[in-house]
Amino acid sequence: MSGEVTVTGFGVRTAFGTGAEALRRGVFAGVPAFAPTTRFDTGPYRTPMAAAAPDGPDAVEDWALRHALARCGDEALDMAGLGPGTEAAVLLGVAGDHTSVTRYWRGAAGSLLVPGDPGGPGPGDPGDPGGGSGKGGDSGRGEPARVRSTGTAANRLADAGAHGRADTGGRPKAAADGAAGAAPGHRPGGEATPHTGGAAAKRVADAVPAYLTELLAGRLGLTGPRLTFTNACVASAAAIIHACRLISSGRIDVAVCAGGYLVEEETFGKFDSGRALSRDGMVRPFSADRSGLLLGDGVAAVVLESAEHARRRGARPLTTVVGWGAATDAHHIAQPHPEGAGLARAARQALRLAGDPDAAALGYVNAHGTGTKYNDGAETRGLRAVFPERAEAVPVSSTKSTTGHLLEAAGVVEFLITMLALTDGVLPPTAGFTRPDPECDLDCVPNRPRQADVRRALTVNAAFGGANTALVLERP
Amino acid sequence: MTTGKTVLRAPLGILATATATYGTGRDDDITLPRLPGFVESAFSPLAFEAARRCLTERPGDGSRTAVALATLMGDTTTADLASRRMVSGRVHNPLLFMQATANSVLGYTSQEFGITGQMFSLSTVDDPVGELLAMADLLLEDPELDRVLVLGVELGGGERVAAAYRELTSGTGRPVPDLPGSGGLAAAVLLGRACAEAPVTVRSAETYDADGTDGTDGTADAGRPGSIQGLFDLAAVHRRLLRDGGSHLLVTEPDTRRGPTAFVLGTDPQAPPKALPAGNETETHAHQ
Repeated sequence: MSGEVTVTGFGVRTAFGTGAEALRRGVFAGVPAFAPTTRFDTGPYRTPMAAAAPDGPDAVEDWALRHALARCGDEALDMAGLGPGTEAAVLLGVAGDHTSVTRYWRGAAGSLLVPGDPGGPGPGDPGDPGGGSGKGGDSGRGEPARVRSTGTAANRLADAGAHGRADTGGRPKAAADGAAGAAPGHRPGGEATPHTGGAAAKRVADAVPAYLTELLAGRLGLTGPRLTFTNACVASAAAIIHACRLISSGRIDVAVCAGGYLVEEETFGKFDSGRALSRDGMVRPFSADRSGLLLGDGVAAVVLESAEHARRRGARPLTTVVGWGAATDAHHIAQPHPEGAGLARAARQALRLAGDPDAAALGYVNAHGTGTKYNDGAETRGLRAVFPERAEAVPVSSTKSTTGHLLEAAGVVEFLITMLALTDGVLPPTAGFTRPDPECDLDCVPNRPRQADVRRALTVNAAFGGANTALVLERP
Repeated sequence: MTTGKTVLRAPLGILATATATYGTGRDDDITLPRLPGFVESAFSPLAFEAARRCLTERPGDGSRTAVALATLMGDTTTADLASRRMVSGRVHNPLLFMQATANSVLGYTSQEFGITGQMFSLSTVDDPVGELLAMADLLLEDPELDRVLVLGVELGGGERVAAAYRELTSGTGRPVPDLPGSGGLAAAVLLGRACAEAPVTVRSAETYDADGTDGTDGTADAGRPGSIQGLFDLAAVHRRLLRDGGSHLLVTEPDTRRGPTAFVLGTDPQAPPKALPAGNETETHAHQ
């Protein structure tokens, strides 16, 4: 085994669609993906906006979290030229599929309108001829908003089972992948109470993060260790860092690192209650008039591999991970350190490990850049502290301005965006930028992509509790 | 002889251990500490209390300390409360937003104790002891770290949680958790590299006697998913070894794919584990 860590494959889905080309069309063109979401009734909330993939029959089963993770994993392994039976770790950053929690309690409250008897089969259930296609038995259309919301994509995607047309990529589907469920029946009104019967209970384990990792590893047929990171917005970055440590220390050769978050009402409501969502329907990182973040769909997987292992089997390295770091703010449970102290420490660690403590070779930073007042100023100060001599020279952009905040998936998706910036020679812009904020006095690549021949780039993330991560990538 | 997984490359020193239980009916159930900004759920207060006991017993350099917390389902009390409010059409409670992830209590703990090293929260189905010790072993290879605080938290839960456990154990023969719905457990272990300040060390056991004749805790059937019983066992062994000296073989609940993990704890890391009398305290399930 070798200490050098390379990327040999990836799969990615965002609101822009699937794969690198979708990212190029959206993120790299500076086109925000925000629109009013129809996955649930946004009436109770301050904004309807999110970067969610368009709803539609095809999207229903494809965008269930377990299926989206599996498809990205399949694509990543295909690109890497690996397959079932590979001794590879599966490291996933995910908080669980919250739609299963909603579905459970919504069923208890009786606001779902699903064909059939209470607890009986519904779309996606084994034996249901509708088969989770999203076409059979859709009673959602045309219903009053609050009720309709529970019958449209948010729930139907959760209800969609393995009988849909999900592409298996030629691999056998894990037995667990077939555990389809459906919403329970209608029990009108009132306080949500426990729901114990019916098919919905079969899918309630999708809320368990480690269970999604087991499903993913089983579906991909990988036989290595498995671990699930749940530390919010740094979860999938933490998974990548852990894989880098395992590979560089010679413990393993290959890891599939993934992350996933799909816009749903549980999290949307929580961020709304925390007054964290943007008020003007845009995310404007580093801009003087920024007013908050918006959520977005993101699922991605990368294959990390020791350079020696990749070389032995003739795999082409797409990029090399040359540095990583993580640190904590010790400041506040929900606010960043005002000087970006933890982020600066994580970035310094990563740059030191990369052999470039002064960031002399750094050509781009993919910022955490949430578009909140607290984050962007603190992040600016933190980055300035890391490379004070080069702060004006290093472009720093936030791609959350186009993808939205992908929460647990932010780390892995932004890792891939950073990789594409290196390989394509194009820096993705910070979209939605209106006017500079003296607090955020970095070159934030406003609104338009920029050609740049960059050899090394840094991607940073931060999360609740003051967790921070940093990764340095190098073009082969 | 059964070959165990080798998860530790070098011995770890156990600097401190602590456990805390709430609502289990045990005599030593604690009254939950009040944490500003945390409401309704026992998850964060239990995690904080276990961490606090370790960190106050063995204060150290927070800038060289990392934290890793393992829990299968996280704070299910908060998740269910928030979800039930939402589907009932009530306004979201921002405090539930703040405490929704395990990161929040780790952030609070880091603030209280000045911990600026790395911080991870994990979800583990099997063998949190093995996962957390392996994580500590890996992190302690980082020259910026001297200590790793590992934590496990397990909550009871309502009917949704029970349904999730039923689904997780379906067809496996594994038992479902037996914690009362409002109960909870937390355990913490503060680890460093083997050194004079850590009289008890833990290392991987390459082989062990599955019959338990060398003082094992037994290689019981696959345990409850998400159980942190192994951390309680480890804490109990640590206490006894501090008092009596010697060594002990700790065998964790089997991983469903790879079998159990075995560790040797001892005051002399090179000595073979010696037989212990039957009914030793490590066999006592803390929440029964």
